[in-house]
Amino acid sequence: MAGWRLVRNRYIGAAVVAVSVLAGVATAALADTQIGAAQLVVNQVTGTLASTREAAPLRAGIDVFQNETISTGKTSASRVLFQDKTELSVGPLSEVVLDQFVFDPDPSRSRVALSIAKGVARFSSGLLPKSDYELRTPTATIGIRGTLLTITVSPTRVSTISVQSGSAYVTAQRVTVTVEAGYSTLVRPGFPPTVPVPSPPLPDSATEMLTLLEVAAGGTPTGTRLGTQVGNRASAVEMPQLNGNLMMSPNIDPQKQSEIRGHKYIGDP
Amino acid sequence: MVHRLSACLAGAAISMLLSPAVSFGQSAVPGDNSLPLFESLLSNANDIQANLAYAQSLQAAGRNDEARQIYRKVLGLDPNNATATAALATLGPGSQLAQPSQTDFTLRWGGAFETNVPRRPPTFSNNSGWVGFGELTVNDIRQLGDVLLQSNFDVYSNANTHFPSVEITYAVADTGPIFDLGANGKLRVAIGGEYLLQGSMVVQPDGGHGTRKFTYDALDAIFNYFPPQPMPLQSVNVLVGYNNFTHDQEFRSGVMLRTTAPMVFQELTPWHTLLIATPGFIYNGAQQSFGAPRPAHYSEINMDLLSLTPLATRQLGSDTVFGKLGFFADAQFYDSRDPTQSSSNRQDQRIIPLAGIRLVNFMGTGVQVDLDYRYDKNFSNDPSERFEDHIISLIGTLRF
Repeated sequence: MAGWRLVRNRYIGAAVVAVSVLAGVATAALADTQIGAAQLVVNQVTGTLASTREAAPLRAGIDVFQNETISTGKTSASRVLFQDKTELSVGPLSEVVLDQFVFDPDPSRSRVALSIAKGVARFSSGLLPKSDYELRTPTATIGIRGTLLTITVSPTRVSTISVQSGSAYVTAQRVTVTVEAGYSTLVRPGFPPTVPVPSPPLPDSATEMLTLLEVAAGGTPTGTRLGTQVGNRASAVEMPQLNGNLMMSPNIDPQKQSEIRGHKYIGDP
Repeated sequence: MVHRLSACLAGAAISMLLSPAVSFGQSAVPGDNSLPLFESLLSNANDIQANLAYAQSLQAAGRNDEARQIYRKVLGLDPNNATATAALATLGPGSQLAQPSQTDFTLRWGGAFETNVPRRPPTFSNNSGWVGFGELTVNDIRQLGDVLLQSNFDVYSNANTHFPSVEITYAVADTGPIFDLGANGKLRVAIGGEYLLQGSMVVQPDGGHGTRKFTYDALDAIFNYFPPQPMPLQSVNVLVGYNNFTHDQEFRSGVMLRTTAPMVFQELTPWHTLLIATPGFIYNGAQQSFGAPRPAHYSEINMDLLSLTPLATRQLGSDTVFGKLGFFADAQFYDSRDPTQSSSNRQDQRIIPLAGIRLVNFMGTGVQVDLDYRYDKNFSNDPSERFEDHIISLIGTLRF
């Protein structure tokens, strides 16, 4: 199925070009426009295209398309990277619709919109002007004025918006509140957003999402990477070098390097 | 699984006991019983029952640090709250750090080509050469009673085409508890040891490509301070040790001090550039206590800058391709303490610019591949120590 999607993408690309030339319409207006790719996929994650309404398993590296719906199962998560470097993390038992992604050389004509229908998601904005981004939940519209926020939507359509970095404007029932970093707000159906309060620890589904994705990315869960090494020129130890220079364990005294380099017997012609 | 199930059951039980004010979310996301409690806190931030319920949910899920944070908030709202007081007593001062034990392994291997292996000035004949190396690092964290213990072990060895086959082998280890300083961060106090063996043959006195056989060992006391996150400063590390340097012509020993303060700056550019900046300082007072004075009292200041910028996804067989730009600089000062020498102080200044790429999850294997070029230049006040070098390296890293 993955191969089919990739192959299909090429045909779609060709079709998009042909249609654009012949009809003179913007390619972004077409259905199934490729807008990014799944960067990480953990367990059961599917993508449903608007054109086919057929759910297909999502795998890391597979393209995602405009109007595609990403759904996750239990203990599942995915991270999608869009063309403008926007990152969207989707947690367990969630559903997110990639509504509109228009990337135009003129930033004022670009637009990114997506809907979190249920579950939990984390959004990290990309290279476009912040005003180009719009997130939706069943009860609220969110304007981005920052880079990182976490959103939950319960089956009762209650939305929470927690801002980790920057700020966000949350609108419901014609009332807008500004949520600064470190604060959260809640929107119930038919009610305006609540007054933002300092964010409590995120719910389990959010932490599970972050843990699943961090482990999948090759790291270890946050909090366990406490490090220890002293004298660790962390970037330097990435670099092997003959004579041992800079090729030191983090706890090896670099004076040893000078001992090696400074001795006249080494490498004398 | 049992742990997760018990957490869910506990969360469900708590939900049933909640006040009507928080009952609207009882049919929240399946599998996340903490979500309705989280929602209730956003609309009733200072509601004691809502806070208690959420804290108990977090505690049931093993998120004790966060549970403790909420219990403390409850005590701020109601200093005499018996439930919060009892819960904090149950968590105990040490268990606030409790977390599942975890052991991480990192395997690194690779090789490099270097144009000036002898690291000598142009008046000497240059020799290019190859080196290959392997390294295994083990990082372990585990709860032992009330103590959260963090330990590290590292073993490394290399081989090359220029010197005797195995040039350097070393092993280091350290272990120590982590103390929670509350809002002030965490402090780790550890002891460690280092052992290094250089070369496998004795000096060749006729000027051949020989190498000294020597050993280096040290016993260290290590202090790692971790400030509250998020902030650029990741840690402040101080090592105080006593080291011995031995080979067939000399023996030196003495105290040493090493410090670093690595910092990470996220989103430094619109292109999601991450910058790692690591300033450091080293002092080694080791000296020979017999015979002629030998170079001693070495100190160094250094600064490493390494930036990582995502360039592309799904290219070159990897999930993500990062561009790497680095600049490493240090100034080294040697005080020989030798009154017979007219100039006893040697000073080196080195710069090492770097450019390379990093491939994450190469060919779906989980291996990180780094391909780097760097230029190494030493400006020394001792002409015999000046050199320049070009190095191309290819390194694989696998964490498991």
